[in-house]
Amino acid sequence: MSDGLENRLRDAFAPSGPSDELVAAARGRAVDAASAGARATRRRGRRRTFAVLAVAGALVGGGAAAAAVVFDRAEPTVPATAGTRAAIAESGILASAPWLFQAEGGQAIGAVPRLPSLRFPPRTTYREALDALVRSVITDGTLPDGARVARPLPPGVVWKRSRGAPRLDLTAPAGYTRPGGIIQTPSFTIPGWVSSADAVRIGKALRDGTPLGEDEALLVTVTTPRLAACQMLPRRAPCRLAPPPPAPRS
Amino acid sequence: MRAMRGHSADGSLVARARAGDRRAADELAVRHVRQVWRAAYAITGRPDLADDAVQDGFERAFGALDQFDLSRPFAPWITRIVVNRALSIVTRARPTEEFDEERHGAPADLPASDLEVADALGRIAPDRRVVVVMRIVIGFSPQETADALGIAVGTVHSRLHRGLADLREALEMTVS
Repeated sequence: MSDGLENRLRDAFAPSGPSDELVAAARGRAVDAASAGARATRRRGRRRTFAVLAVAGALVGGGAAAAAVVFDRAEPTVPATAGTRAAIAESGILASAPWLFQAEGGQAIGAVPRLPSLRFPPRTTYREALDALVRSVITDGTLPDGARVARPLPPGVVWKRSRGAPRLDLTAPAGYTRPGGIIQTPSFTIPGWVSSADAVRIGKALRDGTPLGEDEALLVTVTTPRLAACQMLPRRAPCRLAPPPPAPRS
Repeated sequence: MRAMRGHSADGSLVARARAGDRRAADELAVRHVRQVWRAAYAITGRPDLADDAVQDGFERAFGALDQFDLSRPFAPWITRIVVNRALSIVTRARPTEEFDEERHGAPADLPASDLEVADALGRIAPDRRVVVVMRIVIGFSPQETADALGIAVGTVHSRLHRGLADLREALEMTVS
């Protein structure tokens, strides 16, 4: 009895179907909605990244007061979840990057082993390359998509300008000081047009290491350092650096 | 009845559509529009309301593809969205409107016996009707139906049992 009823049900609706007009309209709505959804997802992705970067600012933007916390061998100089830390630890390059781990304060560029460089797609700028690297390390603990590991750049070179295959040094991607040669960690910026009240609140959150709200996090960006001419290829002259301090006696 | 399967292919299309691939979104829509329309029609009993449910449901579903779990089958997910839309259409208070055979009536080519079934189905409780439609008309498994509706498998069985009993009774009343 039940099987007969079920068959009758199936048969009753099997021949029915939508009109061609409805199918066309539904396809149009689906395509438009999916495209709008994809755009919204990309926008949200940027917002999430900025939110994480804001926490990075909280860690490395606090200056000397925060340095004691940040410069611990167990903690990278950018914020990292347990998963991100694990990914960094698995990466032979990132796990030994002196700009990412500074256990005893900044290290001199001349006193650390040279790491490979990253080759980026043609026409990538230094700002884009540094931004991609920092974002990728913070969000995934990995090197950025679209970039490939390449041989080390010559000593002291941070960025190789090239229309075909620009390269970023993984030893000191944010540059180093002169003449001390101290490797710089990524830093973050609050733009000048932010109201003074908001800037004070954001600055306090950065110093205290407290997470920012999403809207405030959007205001914080990765700072692009001004590299000395000698830190880029083709370069006009080598960087004159002070000799590295002698290694402590054991 | 199982033509909506092919989950891995659907998952690939969803992933591409999420990335902004319009052709993938279109192919996904083509794959599912007829089946979900049939579900919406079985629930609402009116082609024009089924049209509304499918268009609204597709807009919602395809606008929220990032919320779809790629490890799950796509067909129950989109069917649930359209079916929920169909349910809200038939259960909300609608303003009185003059009956228009062309807009509101059943398809003209439907045999009288099938019209009886469609009419009887429209007279059983919506929560049971939905289970009957998803299990019998569309052909989802008890687990897929339970997942799609967010209810226990046991509830699917009981609502199907009661829904078929209600339907049988409604058909007898129609015949008598």
